[in-house]
Amino acid sequence: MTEPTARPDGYPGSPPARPAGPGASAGPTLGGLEVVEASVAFAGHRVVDRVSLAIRPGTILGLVGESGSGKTTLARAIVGSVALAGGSIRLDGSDLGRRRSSAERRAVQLVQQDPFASLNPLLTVGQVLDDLLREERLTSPTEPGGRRPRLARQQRAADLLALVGLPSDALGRYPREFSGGQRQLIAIARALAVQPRVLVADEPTSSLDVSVQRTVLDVIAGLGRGMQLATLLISHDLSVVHAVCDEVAVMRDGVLLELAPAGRFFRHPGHPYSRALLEAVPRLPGR
Amino acid sequence: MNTLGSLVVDDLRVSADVELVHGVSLTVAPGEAVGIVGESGSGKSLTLRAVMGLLPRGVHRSGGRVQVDGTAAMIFQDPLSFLDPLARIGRQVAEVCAAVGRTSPRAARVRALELLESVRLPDAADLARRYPHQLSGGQRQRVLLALALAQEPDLLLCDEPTTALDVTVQREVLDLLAQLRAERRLSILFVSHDLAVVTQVCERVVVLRGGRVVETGAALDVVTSPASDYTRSLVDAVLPLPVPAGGGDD
Repeated sequence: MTEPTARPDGYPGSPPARPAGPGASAGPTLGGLEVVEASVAFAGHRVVDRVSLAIRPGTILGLVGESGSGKTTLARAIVGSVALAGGSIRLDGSDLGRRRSSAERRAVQLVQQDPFASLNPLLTVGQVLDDLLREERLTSPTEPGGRRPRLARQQRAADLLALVGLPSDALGRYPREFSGGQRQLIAIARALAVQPRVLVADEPTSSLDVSVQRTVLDVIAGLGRGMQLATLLISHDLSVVHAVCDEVAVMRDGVLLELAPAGRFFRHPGHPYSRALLEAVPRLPGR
Repeated sequence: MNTLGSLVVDDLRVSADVELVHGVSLTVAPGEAVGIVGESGSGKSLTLRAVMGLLPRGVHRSGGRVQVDGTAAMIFQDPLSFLDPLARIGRQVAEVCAAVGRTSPRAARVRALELLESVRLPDAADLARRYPHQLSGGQRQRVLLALALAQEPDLLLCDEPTTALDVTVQREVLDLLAQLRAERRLSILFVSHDLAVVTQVCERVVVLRGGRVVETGAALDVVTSPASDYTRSLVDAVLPLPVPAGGGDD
């Protein structure tokens, strides 16, 4: 038997200790993303109810649940597009408040289910990336003021595409010229362009054919580990979560029912609902 | 010999500006369940819709033969697009019953309730008074099944009927489909992108790619020892998921 959490890629399996940056708090934080007792309410109804979880840099947490479980709302709270009714969301120990700075917004990136809807059809891939890189002044300022010169931006855009496995000639093409899987890879490259610390992928392979699903998952997992991102992978598909995640969280009706290491979760689910989910998945005979 | 519920599709061609389905042939024997699997663009849904005569605007059958023995009814991935948002569930089912059975409105209402109960909708009488948007996805798919059954079909055409459902609800709908099939001796033609779902429902599988049949065979054979490289690649792309160790102490 192979251990379900074994990784085929060459990235380090265990994350290094938290970088001791100046923003690190003195608390018992491990770095990465922490969701502490987070609640979200719509019209007085709590759709996310006191959820706590943590994702360390370089690891992937899979969040599963059925429709109405609150998993997508939690994702939106983490990226800052809905406000918390209670609790907090922390990045490397510091609070991401209601109003986020542009640096804080860049630090938490979202990849959505529908790669068709998430890319501007009027811009080439190169233009999309260039616009982001023009704004991006987080690292390696090569000019006074921190802006990158044009040639450096072009090189960086080509590097980003190479990271997700697309050829550099893709820069001059429009989204409609790509398949669904390729568009999702472009969306990932776009998310990585601003050097995030957290990647939230909401059903990233749900609208893709199975033959490209694996590629997109491998890119998310490989880059997430390699770049030491705290990755939240939301999926209704337990086999997707099984393929790449280190830990699994199960939500139902806004409540976190279970949070466990993937190896344990898939062999010995702790909550009866987790077990029901796992047992309901149709399996291929003989596998 | 009773051939009610059988289907013969012979050299089916479907075209828009260009040909999209290039001569698909398949059969469904009375009482048999056959699956069509393929990726997007394979022509699986077009094939199914051509059988029902429900091709999208601008798309037409450009060749071949479709022969259904008996009545065919169809269920879809998205029941909401098929249900009238402004009519109560009971009325929608009763209208089909009245049209099919040429019965009195009262008899049709009684029959509608029976049908809603037969698709295992709890509190059918209460549910019949509701509107489509007040139902869950799984409830709506059951209503669609009731509408299909109201037509007293011999052949049920299913177009990704559980793809939009949660996995636990999918399980319930698939179980229901199996029960109905046994009770009513339905033949089934079932389209899905999900090989595991298809092998659960169907005895035989037709693999389509780019509008052509790649492989046909017993479902178990096709997934355990595929004859074509393409089918093998589809099977290999299915992500494995172990079955959890026995619950409690069993």
